[in-house]
Amino acid sequence: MNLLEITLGIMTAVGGFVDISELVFAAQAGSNYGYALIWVFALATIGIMVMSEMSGRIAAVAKQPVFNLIRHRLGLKLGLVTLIASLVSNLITCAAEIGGTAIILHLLTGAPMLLMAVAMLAVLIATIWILPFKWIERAYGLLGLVMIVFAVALVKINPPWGAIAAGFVPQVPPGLSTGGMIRFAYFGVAIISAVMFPYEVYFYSSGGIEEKWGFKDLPINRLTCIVGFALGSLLSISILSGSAQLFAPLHVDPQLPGSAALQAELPMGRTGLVLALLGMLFAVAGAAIETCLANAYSLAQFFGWEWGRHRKPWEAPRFTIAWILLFLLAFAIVATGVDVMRLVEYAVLFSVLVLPLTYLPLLLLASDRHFMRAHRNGMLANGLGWLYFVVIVAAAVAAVPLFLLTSGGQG
Amino acid sequence: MRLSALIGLPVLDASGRRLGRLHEIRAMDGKISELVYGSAGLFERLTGRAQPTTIAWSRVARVGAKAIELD
Amino acid sequence: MSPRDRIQLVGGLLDLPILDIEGRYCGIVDDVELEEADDELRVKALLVGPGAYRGRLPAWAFNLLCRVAGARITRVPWDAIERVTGAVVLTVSAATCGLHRSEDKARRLIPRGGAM
Repeated sequence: MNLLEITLGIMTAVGGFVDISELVFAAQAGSNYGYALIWVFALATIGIMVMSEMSGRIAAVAKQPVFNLIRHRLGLKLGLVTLIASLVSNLITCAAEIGGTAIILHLLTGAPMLLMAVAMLAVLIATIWILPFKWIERAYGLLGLVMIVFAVALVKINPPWGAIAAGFVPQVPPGLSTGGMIRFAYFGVAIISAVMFPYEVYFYSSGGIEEKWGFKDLPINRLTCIVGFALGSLLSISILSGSAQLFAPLHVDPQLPGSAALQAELPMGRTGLVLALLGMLFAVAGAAIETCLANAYSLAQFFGWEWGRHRKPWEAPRFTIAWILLFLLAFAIVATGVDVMRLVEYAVLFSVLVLPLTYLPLLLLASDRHFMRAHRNGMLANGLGWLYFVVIVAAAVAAVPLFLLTSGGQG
Repeated sequence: MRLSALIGLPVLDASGRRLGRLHEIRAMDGKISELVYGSAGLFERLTGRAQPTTIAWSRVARVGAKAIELD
Repeated sequence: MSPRDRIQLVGGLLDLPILDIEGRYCGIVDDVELEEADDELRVKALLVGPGAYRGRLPAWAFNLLCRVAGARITRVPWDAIERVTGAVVLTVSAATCGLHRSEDKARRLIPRGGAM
């Protein structure tokens, strides 16, 4: 194994882990419930590790990206329902990410948000057009490592480490009213959805095909998923913990992404604030690219078009038109002026509804002796895979009632 | 004739009794050799595992628009 | 698996992606055409294109899709298949089977240049 490749892969996974939804929900979870939702982040992170590792393994062994096998296993009708649902969910998520970058750029420059959204759109399109796949992924993943400033800021404010450690134990805060319990449950479901967004699996598995993964890449796949996502999750948990330490005592509810950046400003001054905003910008911009490409991959794989950024844009023309149009559609949503935070809530809601349809074919194919041969799921992968399938079905069933009962987590 | 027109058709025995729904057709060297029928088509599709009820194509008496009749 | 081997038409062929001889994706097996001859039923061709969804989708969904994507069907002869694995691999190029048209039309809209 090439140590440089492994290190870059892990660091890309770390820097690319956080997106606008995790940012917002981590900060709000901390300010509303202290450290009590850390265990949900940990639980969901293990889930995305399990599912991503399977999807990467399928890409390396069976050379099948997720949406090919969704259509093959679910059939045309149910596959089309899954495609449409995931297109809608990813499009809303992409719009939320673009809107999020516009907010961050507005905070950094003072320029109008819509103008910043246009500028960001141009940069994102140029990124995918110019760069080959590996560098699209790495550019934003490595730049997103600036988010480490949140972990540094947390250390500097000397939080109660015992309380943070205790947060990893499954718990419900004592003394919550019925309404409070329902809202806590909503946050739990939202965090599961935000961490286990289906676009991550579509992007990761298609990325494995783009990079022509084979048997020799199975260890790097496992390392990236376990180490990379674990470290990335610790960044989210740093944001949650910083929010718990700084905002909760003041009853400040950080509704906007910019508020989370204050966690770095308070201990580290202006430098901390700028670094936090830059880290968020790169992480969220990277997520915008991933959600858009995930949708383009899904369309192309479902209909059998040539796809991928390992081809030049004119060598996969329908795929190219798809990702450009999807970016424009996402931008159009932002341009309507809809509140970016509402987009985040809808993204999380729609995504959790799509999750079971995404993961079931993945789970079944990862155990398929014919396709996976000696690399099919062992007992641990199967056990964890089915356990998480039950968790996401439960989350999907609970999502809409909880969303409605809490008005999208507002109360 | 299309595959999609056959899949899901009821399979009837010689007396017209319904045996199940057709959910898989197997071919050997391009020639249809076996039918697989049962009650759980989606399960078969999802798991990729063959259902147990398989019959040779030679037992098919008639392929109609609404059913497949065995001899 | 070669087309001469035992193949499951639903579980092992339908809805698989199609790769041409140059390794390029050029469609999905949207349906399979069968023909009766000499008391045998044989696989004649793979059907590719939105027109092949008739019978697989409810009528309203099929009509809506055809308004958007057209009702084209392209036939890929059975003997143009080299092997069937996780995809159907052809012995010919997409252009030979007529599977290149949509991609060629789209290509005219994409400028060349600027990409690494």
